[in-house]
Amino acid sequence: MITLKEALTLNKDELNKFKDELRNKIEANKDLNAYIDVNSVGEGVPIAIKDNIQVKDWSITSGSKILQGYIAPYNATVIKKLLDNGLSPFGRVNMDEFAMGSTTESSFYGKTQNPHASDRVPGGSSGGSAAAVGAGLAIAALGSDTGGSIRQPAAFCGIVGMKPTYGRVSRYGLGAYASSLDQIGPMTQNVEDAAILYDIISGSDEKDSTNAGRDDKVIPNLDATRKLTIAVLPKYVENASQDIKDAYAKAIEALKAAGHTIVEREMMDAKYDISAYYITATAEATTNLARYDGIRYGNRVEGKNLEETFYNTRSEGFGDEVKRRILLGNFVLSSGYYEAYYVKAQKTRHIIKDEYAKIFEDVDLILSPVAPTVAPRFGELANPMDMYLSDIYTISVNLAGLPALSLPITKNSEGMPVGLQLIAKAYDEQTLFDGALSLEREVAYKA
Amino acid sequence: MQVDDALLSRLEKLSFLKISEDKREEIIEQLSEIVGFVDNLSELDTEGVDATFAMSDAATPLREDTPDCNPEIHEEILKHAPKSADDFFIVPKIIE
Amino acid sequence: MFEVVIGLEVHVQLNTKTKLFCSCPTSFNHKQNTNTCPTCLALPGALPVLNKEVVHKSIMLGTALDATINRVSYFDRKSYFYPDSPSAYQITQLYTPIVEHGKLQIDFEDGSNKTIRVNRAHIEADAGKNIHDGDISKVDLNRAGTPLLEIVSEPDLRSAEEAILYLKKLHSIIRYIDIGDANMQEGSFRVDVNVSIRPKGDEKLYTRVEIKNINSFKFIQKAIEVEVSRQVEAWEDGTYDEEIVQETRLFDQVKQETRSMRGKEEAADYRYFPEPDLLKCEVTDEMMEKYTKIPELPDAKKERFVSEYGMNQYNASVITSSVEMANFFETMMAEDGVSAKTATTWLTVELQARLKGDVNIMNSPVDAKKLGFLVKRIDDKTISGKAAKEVLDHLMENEAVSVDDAIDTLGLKQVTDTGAIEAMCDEIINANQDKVEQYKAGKEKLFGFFVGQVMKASKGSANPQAVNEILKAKLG
Repeated sequence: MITLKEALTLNKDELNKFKDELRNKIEANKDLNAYIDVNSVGEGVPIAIKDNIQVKDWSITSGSKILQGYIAPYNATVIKKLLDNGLSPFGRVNMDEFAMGSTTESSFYGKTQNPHASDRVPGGSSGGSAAAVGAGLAIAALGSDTGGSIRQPAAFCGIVGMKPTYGRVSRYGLGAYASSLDQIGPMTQNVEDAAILYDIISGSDEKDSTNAGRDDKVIPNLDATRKLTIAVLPKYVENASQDIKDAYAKAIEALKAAGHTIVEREMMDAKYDISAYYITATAEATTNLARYDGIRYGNRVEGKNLEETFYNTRSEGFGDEVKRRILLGNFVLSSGYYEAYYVKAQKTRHIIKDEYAKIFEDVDLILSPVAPTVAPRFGELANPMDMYLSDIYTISVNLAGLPALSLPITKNSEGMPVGLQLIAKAYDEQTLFDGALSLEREVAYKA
Repeated sequence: MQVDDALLSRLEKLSFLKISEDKREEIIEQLSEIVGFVDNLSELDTEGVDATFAMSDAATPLREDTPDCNPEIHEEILKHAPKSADDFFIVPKIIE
Repeated sequence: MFEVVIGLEVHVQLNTKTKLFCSCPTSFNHKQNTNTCPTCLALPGALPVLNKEVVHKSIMLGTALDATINRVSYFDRKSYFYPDSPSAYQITQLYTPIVEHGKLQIDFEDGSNKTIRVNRAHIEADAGKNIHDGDISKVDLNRAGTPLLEIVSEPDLRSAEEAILYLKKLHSIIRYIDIGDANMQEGSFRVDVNVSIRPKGDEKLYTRVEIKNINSFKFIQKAIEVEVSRQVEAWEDGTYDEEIVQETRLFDQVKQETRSMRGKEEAADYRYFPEPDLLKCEVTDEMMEKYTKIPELPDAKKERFVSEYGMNQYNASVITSSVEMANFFETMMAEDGVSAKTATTWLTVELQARLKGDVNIMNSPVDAKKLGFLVKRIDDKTISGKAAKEVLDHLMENEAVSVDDAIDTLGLKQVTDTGAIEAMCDEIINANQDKVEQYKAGKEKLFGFFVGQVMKASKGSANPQAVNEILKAKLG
């Protein structure tokens, strides 16, 4: 599959030809179920769009039954940026319902396969994005990451996935899951493509009050030769599978070979991260999803009266995982529990952020696993608590709002990709991409 | 912290969700497990820590009071609304 | 004996051009759902952005109430389901409002006054409208997202009378600083009343009952009275604990009683938490300097009218009770040769009496300039006061006509030429010698007869003062 960098040099005719061929390829690989449907806007380089980013006149449903019938009447800011920079939204890709999940199994449109093994999950919630790029069915894709939803599927599918610092990319037009954690990010075949796409979608936006208002770009100064100090977390990796441990060791060697300095650091038990995340995310989500009532748009299931209509629409329109999180969110916000859960979780976020800040005082990047194992098989993470626990490596990054990038390091004995992530200081995407590029070149992963 | 059927009923009301009979026990179990897990935060000492979290110390941006309305938005939404008439959204009667 | 404890919550719709969190116009009388966008329709992916003018007007109100302006305030989500609330949460300010600890003075008729403390004023978004139509409801979201200031008093009010005085004063202030239309009938000034009673001398606060949706001062007064009766009766009957519960009630205008709103208690868990889509609302030094500048307030204007125009307290109160009337008065006074005394009467008595139905001081066919000119013509004796009434009637019916043209048309120019008046007096005296004798003999009341006759002869155009003086001189 042609890279994004190469594709940006194609002319209009070449692009049209390419897109026709791509359509055929996608059609021929329907079993993968990465794409929900394929529509195209504009004449630029095709980019697959996760089903929670508004593209005008597209059906945008966040992988849910409750939004069937809704047609987006406006473009998300990131889509405008794509269109302004020679890129084209091309195809809507699959996701866990409302971005709540780690396997894409909860989608209304059915599960997506991992391109490397049809009986394994592609990860989630941006499973469709990762599978499309990983299967050579997309040049690049946009995903969203709230607790690891870009980085983990990227690692499972053997591609690059990057989550920007919170506030770097506008959330205007991203169907909200957890407002203080969500970020849109690039999912690509390589690090440089991710940097290109990141530069295009990031920047100030007056429509998003939480936007950081920063317009600096990474491509002009991209430098894989910079020598960095990188922290590794030996205790952290202890609980990961052997595949992960081996990849971790390999990556450390590669970084050393590239001339970087490796230091050892520790972080607090990730079990607190999981708690702070699931309390914060569900509280914000329960209110963000309260608008889905079938009144103004989407799929309404009528009742005898208004109340019944609300109950029917939502009970039939949401899947089990979404329901669980809505109930949980209302629990942690309800009177009597708010202080002990929601407030406590926010305080914990400060502790996590401070912990990272301390490490970053004398370190440029942190090397960390993305998931405890390679992509699991379908149904393996059916118990919610098991699924939540699999987020242990990605979640604290969202809680602290830091930027992180997941890239493939190696494959295990079964041919399943193993990815690892680099984490940088807030707003230090330059160092993140520089380090990632260096690591990518050193490990020379073969897709 | 135990989740029981009474609590589930209260949460259902707040969420406008109806969990079917055959799924109630399972959901109660799952929620209990999750709540039991997140209780671990009580082990952390958060004395003196700020009760609210924000990524940056910046102030919320202020917008100029200049009207700017794109009529396409409401036209499209009304066109595809589950039930609309004469540019109203129609809902079943509300029991007062 | 019982004491009444009242607290008032007033929701004021701000008259900004756009909504609180989006750039949709706030102008009314538009077709349903035309002033909407992703944010106020609560579409997926929509986000709020705070309107600068709302912060401006909030600070103006805080300044007018002598309140603390919180340099940093925050927004919170308040969750509840209703079709007129598209996102199913309202963005409001629970934990840290923009304005706190203000006060407002109410003035009693006997000249005394009382200070009522204002606990807070916070910013929040208005909901849309539901129109019930048989088996269905029609939802219009034009109003959804309109900025509101919720102004909450301390429970310092002790009677329905005080409550009404507070509301009228607050209403006046809002109109004076022009942050909202404050029209109760249109819903831009919405009052919720909290009422409780307690034995006189008791410091404790007992069960508070909220009464919502009363849209006139008259009904608010009545609602308070009937609710207090209900609570007192329950106390005296020994059924207070069962009958009086913390709840929301509606005022039934027909039955003249309050009744319970079914099922509201259950939905009361609003699950407030800080709004994650907005950052802190910060008031900079520059904003404080600009936004605390407000027009002259009612109390200050009243005092100034007393000192500058020599008005008495009562008239000053009446004229400054509305900013429209106060401005009308000052425009009249801008005409030279207008005396405050005459202007006061002609505004508060003569014009007021002629403003009926849809005709009010804002759209009066006789505007301030014209009325001022009419008063000038009275003060310079061109016409008599009596004639002026006729002129005013004529002007009210003929908006395009000028004062002087009306005077000419009606032939009401006053005769002040003493020579002419003297001649008329002589005529009347000569024609009524018998009455002159009677008057000189002591029948003082006959003086009026002579005045009347001269006025009649002059067709009402003689200057009555001159007539009086001349007759007195002639009759002795």
